Amino acid sequence: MRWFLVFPLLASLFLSSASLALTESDLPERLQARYTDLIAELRCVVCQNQSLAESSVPLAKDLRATVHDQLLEGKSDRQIKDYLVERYGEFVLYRPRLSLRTVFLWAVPPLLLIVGLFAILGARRRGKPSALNDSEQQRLAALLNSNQPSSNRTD
Amino acid sequence: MKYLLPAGLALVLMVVFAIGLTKDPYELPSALQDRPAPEFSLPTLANPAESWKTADLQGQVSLVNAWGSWCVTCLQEHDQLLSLANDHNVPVFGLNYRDDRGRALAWLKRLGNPYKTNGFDADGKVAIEWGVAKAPESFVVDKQGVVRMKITGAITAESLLDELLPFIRKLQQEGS
Repeated sequence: MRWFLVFPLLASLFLSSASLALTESDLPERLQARYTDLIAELRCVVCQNQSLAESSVPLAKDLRATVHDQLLEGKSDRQIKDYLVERYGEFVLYRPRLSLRTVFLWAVPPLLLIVGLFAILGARRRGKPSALNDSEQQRLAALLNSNQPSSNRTD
Repeated sequence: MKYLLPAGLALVLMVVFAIGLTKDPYELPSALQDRPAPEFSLPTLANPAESWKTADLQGQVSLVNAWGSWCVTCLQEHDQLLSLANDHNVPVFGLNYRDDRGRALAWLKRLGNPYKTNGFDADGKVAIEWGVAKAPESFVVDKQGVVRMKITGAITAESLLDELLPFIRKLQQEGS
């Protein structure tokens, strides 16, 4: 394997999806950063595994325009997100807000992580071999001292 | 015995995923559920001088249907809409969005027009107000102008008779 090829190949995978990002706009610089962040955080509800930054469907174009216009109007990030959630639901946010409805969504992964850690610790403790008892010690000594050639010795 | 816990968890996960497979990812709960229809005023498709607005939804149970002549799936439900309007006497309003006036009118002429009125939402802004993601989507609006049900995707003959119509009849009984 030509190792020097791996990095450019991997890089091209990531770069090709980045080139689809439709983050360019005519916004003044002070708003451009907020625009890019917002459209990366908002889900395209049509192509649901793409953000507004990546999706090229008409709805995504319209919603990017909405974000753009509201930024020019001076709305805050929170107001813009609220506007879209009011119309499309929490699902439109990639980072759902913490509320009674989303508390499970947020709590379950860390909980599973803790459960998993306990499971690993438990398995390790069970898996540790216990010390040999007396009869096993004698057998071990006998085997080590014996002159019989072992069938799986390779020398 | 030590396999019981992981096997049990795997089984639970399988059941959860199996249930998940039956769900449609496009059936997002409507953000408008049980809330008043959005404020809007649009020129009608037939006559730009006339308008169709939120207030027109008051006083009757109606179906607001988001569609476009560019929408292939809308062809599938068109017969259902005609049936709803003509056979079952339910007013159907159209939200014609991101469309071309000429093409939309020709489409209706060709296929039949179930709509009492069509709002012409050229830039799709009103469709965004309703939270429309893909056409066709339909909303059942009650007599007070509150959105009571959202249907994502085409209305089928079965869903019309089994779900939509009974629900509309139930709403029509309310407050009478």
